[in-house]
Amino acid sequence: MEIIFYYNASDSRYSVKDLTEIERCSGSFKQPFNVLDPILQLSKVIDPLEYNYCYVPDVDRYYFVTSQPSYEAGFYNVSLHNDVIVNLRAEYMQLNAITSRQENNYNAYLNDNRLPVRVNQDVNTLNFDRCFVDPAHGEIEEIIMVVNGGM
Amino acid sequence: MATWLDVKNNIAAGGVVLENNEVFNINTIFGSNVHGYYFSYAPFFAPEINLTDNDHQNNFKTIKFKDGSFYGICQGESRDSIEIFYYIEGYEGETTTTYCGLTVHRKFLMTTPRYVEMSGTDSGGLSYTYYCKPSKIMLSLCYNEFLDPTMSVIYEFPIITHAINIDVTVPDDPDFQIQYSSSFTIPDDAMAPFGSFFEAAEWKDFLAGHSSGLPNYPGDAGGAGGGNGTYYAPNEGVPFSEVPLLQLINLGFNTIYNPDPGDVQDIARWLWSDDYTENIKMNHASPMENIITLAACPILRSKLVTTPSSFKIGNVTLNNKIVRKIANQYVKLSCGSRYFKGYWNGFLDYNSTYNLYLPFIGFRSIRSDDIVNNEVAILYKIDLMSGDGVCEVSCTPVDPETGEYDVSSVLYSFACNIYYNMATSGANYTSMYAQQRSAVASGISNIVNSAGRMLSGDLLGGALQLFTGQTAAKTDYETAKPDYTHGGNSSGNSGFFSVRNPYVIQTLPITNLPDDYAKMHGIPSMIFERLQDLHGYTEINAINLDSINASSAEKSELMNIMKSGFYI
Repeated sequence: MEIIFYYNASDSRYSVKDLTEIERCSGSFKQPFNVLDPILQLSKVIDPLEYNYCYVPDVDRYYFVTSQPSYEAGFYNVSLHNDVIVNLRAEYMQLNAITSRQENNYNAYLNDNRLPVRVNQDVNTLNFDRCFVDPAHGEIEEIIMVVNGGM
Repeated sequence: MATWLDVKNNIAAGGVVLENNEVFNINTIFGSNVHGYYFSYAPFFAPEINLTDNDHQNNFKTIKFKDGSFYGICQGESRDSIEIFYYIEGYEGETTTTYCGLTVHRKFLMTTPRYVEMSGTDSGGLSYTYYCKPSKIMLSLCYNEFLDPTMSVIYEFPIITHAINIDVTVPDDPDFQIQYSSSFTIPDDAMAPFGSFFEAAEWKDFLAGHSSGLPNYPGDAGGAGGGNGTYYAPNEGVPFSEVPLLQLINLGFNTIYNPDPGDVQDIARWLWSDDYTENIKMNHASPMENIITLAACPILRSKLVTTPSSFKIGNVTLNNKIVRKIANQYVKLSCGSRYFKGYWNGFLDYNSTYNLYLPFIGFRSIRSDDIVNNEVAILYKIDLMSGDGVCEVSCTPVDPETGEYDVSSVLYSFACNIYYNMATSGANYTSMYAQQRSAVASGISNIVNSAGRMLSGDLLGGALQLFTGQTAAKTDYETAKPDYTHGGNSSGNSGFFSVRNPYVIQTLPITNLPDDYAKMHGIPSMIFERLQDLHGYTEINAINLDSINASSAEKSELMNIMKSGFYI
């Protein structure tokens, strides 16, 4: 089967990868086939630093190349890991979901326990208008005398 | 440099007609003596096309559309080829690309019921600034001479979740006309000044008859959830109270005077004279006990309502002495109001602490909900008979988005005494001193727990009791160190030595927010949305993957990745 090797420059968590095609080879999956972590049997050595991603048209799946090739029985075995984020994108993008965190759609009033906050705090004083006599402004108090009677 | 006329001439000469999904290299249209543009694409997934002008800031490029196919018109040469999907009117699916500016194209839906189509025309000029609220806004830019107005360049903004100003730069060409149309969702507090509509209510009137399938607006509380209550919680407001109407000073038992210091000296001499002691009716053990109160009062004379009067105690008048007699027993003193705008308009405002200092009362904690985005007013009401009074704190919520005021309510009320009493007899002094000592002791402890709640204390050495109030969600800093109150009570005599105006001590956390925090972590978001309408870093709280055609192992791994965070 055909295998298209790429250099993936994107973080593994990106659902759209930045790929540069490196080479197209032929190979086969080692049996038994593992859906998430298959092993590819190649007839040549590849450098996983450069050939770090691949597409297998026969199964219509994209994989991360996760190991150095190991020689076994005439083949170079390379471990792969299923890039489910890419492979299932067309389907899950049509689904509705409840988000817990989002880069652009968020609610600033929800508590964020990941937000780094310094130990020192900003202390400010905010004044209201004065309604009492204030000696600091040169004002003097009045005298009040309450007496019995006096009518 | 290719000019707009060159582009027009090329189109007149035929240009290039592309079919759907056809890869197109714009080098085939123009030669090498043009400026370069870089296009990147992802051929196997939904196309995202970044258009970057490498050389000049003011160059532009346009694509002319036509039903079913389109002409590709681009200036400059590309370093890569681009693949363009086109849009057929009435079809909800993949969309056409956008050009003419520095934007990243995203998919959009044109004709779903939840979108409003508006159109208008601006003409001339170099740049326009559009203010928009959460929405997807599309501007159709068309050269009115060159293009049929029904065919236009679609200029789309990425999903916008907060109010932003967007500058659109267009060619400085008097024949160039901007036709704008917008499709957007209507949140409850939308302010979208396109055309003649400015208020959300007007938009909604316009939408009457359309489907109400509006997506959730990020920031809404969402459904109330559960129960069969009325979900109706009106805010009726509580205004400041009024002073009593009954003036006790009119009942004949007591009189209140406002003498000058010289008058007091004259009165003091007279009190020791035979004229007073021989003539006063002895309804007390000592003649001096007819003086109920002698105090310094920190109220401006202009606030006191007085009438000139002879000075009389009981049945005895001090001849030839006119002093001011208080005619209104109660005084209202306003310290004005102040609007406390949210510093972040986010959760940190409510993780901040606010202490309110009130003259002749002391420091009191005030809830962040009552002060953030509230106008706070302070009013004292004093009884001149005793110096006792009450301080009311009224809070008026203000909508941070619209500036609209809600009703006011008195949320705090504190007793106070504003007199500096002077003892006029031994018995009077002993009683007065005991009261002052008690008032100071009631606020002796000044250590609070890390939740900002006061630990109650006892001057006489009682055990400290932890006040277990509400423990709201905290950020880490709140548990890092204890907090302290700012003092005890300061009523009566001790209040005379304290600050004479109210103020708020606002203690705000200092964030240490790195660049790209939202891109790396996201921000808390509890919304229900279709994933294709989201962009960027996303952590999923809940999703049903049953309908996906994949193995259970793949779906399980997908769920784990979605919950731990991925990039859409």
